[in-house]
Amino acid sequence: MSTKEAAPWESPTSGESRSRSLTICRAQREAVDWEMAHDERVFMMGEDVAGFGGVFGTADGLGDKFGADRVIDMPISETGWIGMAAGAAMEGMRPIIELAYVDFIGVCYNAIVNHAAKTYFMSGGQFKVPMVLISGTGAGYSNAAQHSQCLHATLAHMPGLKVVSPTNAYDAKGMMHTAIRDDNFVVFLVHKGASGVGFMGPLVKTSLSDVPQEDYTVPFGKIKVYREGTDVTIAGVGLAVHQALESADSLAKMGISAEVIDIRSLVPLDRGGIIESVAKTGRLVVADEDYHSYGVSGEVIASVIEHDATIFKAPPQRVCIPDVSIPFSRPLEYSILPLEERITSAALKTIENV
Amino acid sequence: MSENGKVFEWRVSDELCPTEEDSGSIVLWILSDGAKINQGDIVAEFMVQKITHELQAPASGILHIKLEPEIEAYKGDLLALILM
Repeated sequence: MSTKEAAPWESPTSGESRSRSLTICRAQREAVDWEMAHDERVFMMGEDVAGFGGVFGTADGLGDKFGADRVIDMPISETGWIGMAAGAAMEGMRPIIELAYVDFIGVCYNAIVNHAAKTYFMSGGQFKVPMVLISGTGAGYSNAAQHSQCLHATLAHMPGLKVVSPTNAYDAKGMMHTAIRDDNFVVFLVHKGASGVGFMGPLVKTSLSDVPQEDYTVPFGKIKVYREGTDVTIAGVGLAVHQALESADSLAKMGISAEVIDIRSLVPLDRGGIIESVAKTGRLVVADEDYHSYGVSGEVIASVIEHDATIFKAPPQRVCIPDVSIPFSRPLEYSILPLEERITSAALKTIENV
Repeated sequence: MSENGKVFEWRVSDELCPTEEDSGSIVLWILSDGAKINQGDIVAEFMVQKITHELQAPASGILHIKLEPEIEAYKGDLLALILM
């Protein structure tokens, strides 16, 4: 075990505990830091993690702290090193690997889907793959079709891996602890626009939270109710949750009470929690920045209908990326994102249909 | 209120903004207004030309924030007062 130097905020002279407002990337990094300090099997590998600290701030300072043996920069050859990480996990290490943009999952999809996700099953439980894959998702900053996707369904569709996407700093730290301690392969997605790196523009205020200094876990497979309501459930994934919160404000001004839930764990999916919310409101809008067809949004709606087809007072709505590639042009891009106005319109449609 | 009555004026440093033209802004205050801070604590993030810097407390005392996030600031501009 390596010893960890006390972080500045852990100074014994600090006196009474203070609340700290953290961004998602800072909070999740704190969990990685803690786990690396307490378990020498944990190491980090990826593009720009050591020298640069992760393109989206996920490894800032970890390279200096833990050295080149435990925070390892990798070339743009994901097929090789993500396969290597899966092998290391099978042999008892606990790798945390970073693919900066989920858009490039294609080049390492075989290592992920056929090796990392299936080896536990195919070896009859003899080989576990305790690996965490961190990746950035999402659009909204004119980075065009190859650097703007979410690809939630592309990952969540495959059996054998867990997929989570926290939307606030508290969840990011707790879910990262859960992910690293999990004996299964976990894909940890954070929307770049909500991660809290300064260069992405103003922070999303609702993504900031008071984060405890000590380690703690947030379980997978549970929705988070951000805001309670009675008229319509808006279920969001990633940055769309924050847009849904703005939508709930707009709807409140019209006298409509929206319940905003964060799916946050795509696999395992909290179907019971979603059904419980829709049973209360009778109306459902799913906001997901992934493509419209064959997506998590359809899965959520189908899960409710399979449980009780009479639960809906109006047809459920999906607010997603229409089935087109994401444009570079800012006006075109913004016209297809699941932003507040589109979510509000969809919610109104469920109300007017009554 | 303060232990020895001194007030430390925490300003944008030459390291953050070397020339008169350089500007930056607070990304967020990690510790809140009125918090008791110790010299060396990471208190805020400050961004200059898309690079985020961690700001460590230059003195110990009670933090009084004077510059809110996302407001452009130059060398010598007041970030906060620290009641020592």
